[in-house]
Amino acid sequence: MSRDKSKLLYAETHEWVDVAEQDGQKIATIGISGFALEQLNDLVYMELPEVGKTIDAGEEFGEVESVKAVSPLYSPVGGEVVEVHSELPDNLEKLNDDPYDFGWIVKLKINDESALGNLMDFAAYEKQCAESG
Amino acid sequence: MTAPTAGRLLFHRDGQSAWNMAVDQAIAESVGQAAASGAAPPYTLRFYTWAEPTLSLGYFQSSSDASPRFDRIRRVRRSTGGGAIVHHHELTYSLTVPARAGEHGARTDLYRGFHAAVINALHRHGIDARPNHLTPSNADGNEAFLCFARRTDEDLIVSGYKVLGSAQRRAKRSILQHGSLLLRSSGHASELPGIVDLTSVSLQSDALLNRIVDEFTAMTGVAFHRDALSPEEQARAERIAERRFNRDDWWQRR
Repeated sequence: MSRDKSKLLYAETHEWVDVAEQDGQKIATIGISGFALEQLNDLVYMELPEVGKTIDAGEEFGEVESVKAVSPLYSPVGGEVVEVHSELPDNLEKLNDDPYDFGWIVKLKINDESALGNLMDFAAYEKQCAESG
Repeated sequence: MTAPTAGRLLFHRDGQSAWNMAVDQAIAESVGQAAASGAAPPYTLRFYTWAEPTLSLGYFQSSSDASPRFDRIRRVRRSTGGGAIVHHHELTYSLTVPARAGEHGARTDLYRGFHAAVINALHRHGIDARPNHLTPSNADGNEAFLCFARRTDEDLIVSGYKVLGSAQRRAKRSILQHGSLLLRSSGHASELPGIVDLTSVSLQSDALLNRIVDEFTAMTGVAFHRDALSPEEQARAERIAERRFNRDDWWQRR
């Protein structure tokens, strides 16, 4: 099943979030938007969090190194890391081609839904990207 | 690049390795906090040297990749990426600037701007330096352990050898750019010649440094004024050195 980027939520810091219900829990799947990946070009390293770690909304959950810059990845929601995409760091060249399916990075069991209200829908996110040039 | 009209200029001679790295992070944090609060913090340009020859590892490099030949010198892991640097007969700089919310990736204009200032300053000493992508060989490769054995487009080349490389770390509201200008070859990495080795020019680092600042000011319109760390930055740097850069687990992070 392919994710529809127009149905996802987005953070100002360019992470996307797909929220789904699983066994009565809300699970957020998080990745980096295609727009941000184009700007990052040529990712060479990615660091993922450990499963079980609890992360607050807005806190760093990982880092990437692109040509000449290390950038943190910020969690758009708070929760416990329940799964990480461990194949991703060794296959970063595939990320640009498939940012919303193969490009998922972590899954969090959401512990505070209030942060979801601060996220943008696709139209608002596109507007932010257009304004930032 | 758009920039404020006033900047801070800091010089720190012979700093301890963890302290040198912690100061840059402390500045980046204070610039980021000021930007997030709606202020327009000034550009901060810092030049520094090291108390002892030091190997600085790029953030994502593995400590086990450092060959035994570096066992006898100090070592520290940077927060910026790229390859390892032997800080010995070189000049290290950091440039910290505020970032807009939502900015992402490398700020190429900062690399190009600062490197162009160094090109112009070296030119005034009669030295021809140019970005790697404008050299005839235009070598490429980012696999080598040492930064000065790697090549990216904006690296500065003199007589076929890399003499300046830079790397950035982005935070939410600030960008830290680190760089190293190789003046002379180090006995700890004798395969890498510096500017003085490659030219017949006897460079005084103070004179060169002042010219770089003049050129960067001419280019950006930012007038840099000598300054010192604030007490808050001092205290923050001490905490960061203790909790991060001085720790073995930070060095062995990878």
